[in-house]
Amino acid sequence: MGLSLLALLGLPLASSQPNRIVPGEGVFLWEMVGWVGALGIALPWLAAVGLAVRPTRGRSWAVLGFVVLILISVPWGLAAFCLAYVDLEQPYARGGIGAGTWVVLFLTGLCLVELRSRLSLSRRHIVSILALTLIAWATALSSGWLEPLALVREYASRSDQFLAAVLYHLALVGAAVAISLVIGFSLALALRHSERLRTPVFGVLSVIQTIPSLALFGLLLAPLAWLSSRYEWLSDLGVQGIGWAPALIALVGYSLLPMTRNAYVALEGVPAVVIESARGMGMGPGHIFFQVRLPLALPVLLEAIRITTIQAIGLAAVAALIGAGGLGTFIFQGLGQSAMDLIVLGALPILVMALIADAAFSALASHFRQGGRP
Amino acid sequence: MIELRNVTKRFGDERAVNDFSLTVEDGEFCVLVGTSGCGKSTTLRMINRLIEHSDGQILIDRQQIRSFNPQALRRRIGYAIQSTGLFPHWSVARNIGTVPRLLKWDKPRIEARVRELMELLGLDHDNFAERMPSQLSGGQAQRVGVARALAADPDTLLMDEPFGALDPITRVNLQEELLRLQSRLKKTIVFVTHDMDEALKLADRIVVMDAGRIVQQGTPSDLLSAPANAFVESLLGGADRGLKQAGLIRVSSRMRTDLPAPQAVDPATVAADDTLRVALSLMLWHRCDTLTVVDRSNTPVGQLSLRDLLHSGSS
Ligand SMILES: Nc1ncnc2c1ncn2[C@@H]1O[C@H](COP(=O)(O)OP(=O)(O)O)[C@@H](O)[C@H]1O
Ligand SMILES: [Mg+2]
Repeated sequence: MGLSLLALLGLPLASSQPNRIVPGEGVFLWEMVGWVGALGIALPWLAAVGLAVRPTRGRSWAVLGFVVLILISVPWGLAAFCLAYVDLEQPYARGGIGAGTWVVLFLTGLCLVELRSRLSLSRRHIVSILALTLIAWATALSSGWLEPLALVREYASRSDQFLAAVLYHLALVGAAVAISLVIGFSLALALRHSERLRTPVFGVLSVIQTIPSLALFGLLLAPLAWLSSRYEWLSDLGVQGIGWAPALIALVGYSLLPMTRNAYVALEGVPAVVIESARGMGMGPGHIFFQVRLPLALPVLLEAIRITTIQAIGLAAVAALIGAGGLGTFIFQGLGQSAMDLIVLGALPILVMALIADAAFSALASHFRQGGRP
Repeated sequence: MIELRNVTKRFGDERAVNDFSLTVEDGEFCVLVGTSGCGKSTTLRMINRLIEHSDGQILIDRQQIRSFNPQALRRRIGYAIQSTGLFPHWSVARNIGTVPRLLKWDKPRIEARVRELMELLGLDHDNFAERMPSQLSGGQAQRVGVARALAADPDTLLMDEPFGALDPITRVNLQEELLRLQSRLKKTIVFVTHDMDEALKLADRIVVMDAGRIVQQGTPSDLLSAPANAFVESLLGGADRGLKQAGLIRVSSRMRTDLPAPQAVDPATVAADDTLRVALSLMLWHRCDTLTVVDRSNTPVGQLSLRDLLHSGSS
């Protein structure tokens, strides 16, 4: 909390640039609202810091209210900044989100996590706080005042591409996770029946895991190019040395180890006594597998899917380097043109996707762990 | 009726059960007892074919168990193990209904049976039917385990240390309850334990095992009065044997009813269906040599003196 105050005052909250190339000029809080205004904001902030030092339940709730207030006012603050500082007559002029704002957002996020455990907030609380924040951003965006923000500008100039990239990214990740789930689960079943296969299979999967992602894409390039030139139906499918095919194969390759190992652990982790009593009751092998072993393995299995999905969401960004498309494209374009905001445009949705996947699968797993039924 | 004829089970070169012959009559409560690793569970699990025997014959109602389909065989034999054997993802009611469901009973019949069994084992249906096993105490879980084993009303019941993980008080309660059930249901029971006190308390017949063989079999008092060797003697608890034997005899079999009834206020009383062991302990505690025997409603029904207790009278 205290740190965020320092950031608020000490770092530029936003910047204004005449165009994309020229580095922007930082604008500090006091420059925006004057000394009096800055004090007006800083004093309640200081009060909140004070409340947080010796937390009681009531004080923590007050701090939570303040944190939510910050989250809601950030987009509007930026909107006000854009109105005041960015010259709307110039089509290329743009405002950037400054280091101060990022740090404030990051630190309030941390506060939220801390408050969540202190006040033992339920999932519903968190969801409604996030929803409030999203609504604040959405209304600020639809007002049009945020248009001069560089991030929004970058988005506006490629909104079709953006949506396509998000969908493509999701499709790539979804396909990789689905394929590796099928293969990994089958492998895990095979490993349960054959002790001898275990060491070599896990060995090979671990080796794949240790190959750096770029190297793996490179390794796949030559054989796939050769295959697609050799077999016409493959190239008709769009299989080439670059593009989605090597990306998908690499993603599946990386996903196989966590998927197989966790599926194996999940299935083996079912207590032997439970299986023994199932047999003793006269259940057949199919019954035991589908009614006992699989449902009991499900939470761990979902955990495997969660880990794999998050990993694949991140790795799919790298796949843009070999022309696989997706959100990674923006990141690498942004890096090439040193356009920070373009990078953020690619990275932010990746982050959001990962967080959503994490929350969704965790919730599902804990639902089943508490004895929920499929 | 269960018959094992010269049954042997080999794991590799090791013989876990060796030339084992035993007949358990209909309605008999037979307890296998011995130190851990002596082959008790293996013997039990051969009866419902969780383990296939290597040599010899096993018959149930004079039919070779190999002539049955293993799953069909297991569905007509109740099987109860330590409480962790409950399916953790199923409610109590669903756990109890496992075998009836496998036997494709219709729904109302299963529901009625579950209700009946829960009542039989002292589990309030409204309170417990929809609970998950993790929400049960050890004793409650074990009751559910026994109810589940009884669900399809099997003639035969196999129980492998079912009370092994319980605290002593719950354990004694469940033992009493099992005895009460057995006096009503008259199942053929093979019960495994490493606890000789439990065996003495429950068994019509005790089978003492060591290293896969039968060392001695007989009624609890047979064993106590004539242990076959030093091993059985040590299982029986050496110097505690006298007390254990006293623990098998009811006060009602030794008390005198011909004397005039003393004052009911006498604090030194013992219940007629307590054991001589309890009576002796009470005499030591009250430092007296005569106890007033009372019935369930605390009305004096007779007297027990130290002489009565020591003199074997009829038995
Ligand atoms: N599946 C198995 N494979 C190999 N050895 C076993 C197996 N099951 C039991 N044994 C061995 O058989 C012996 C008897 O085991 P068990 O019947 O479980 O003993 P108890 O129930 O009397 O403690 C032990 O020495 C044990 O190691
Ligand atoms: Mg055992």
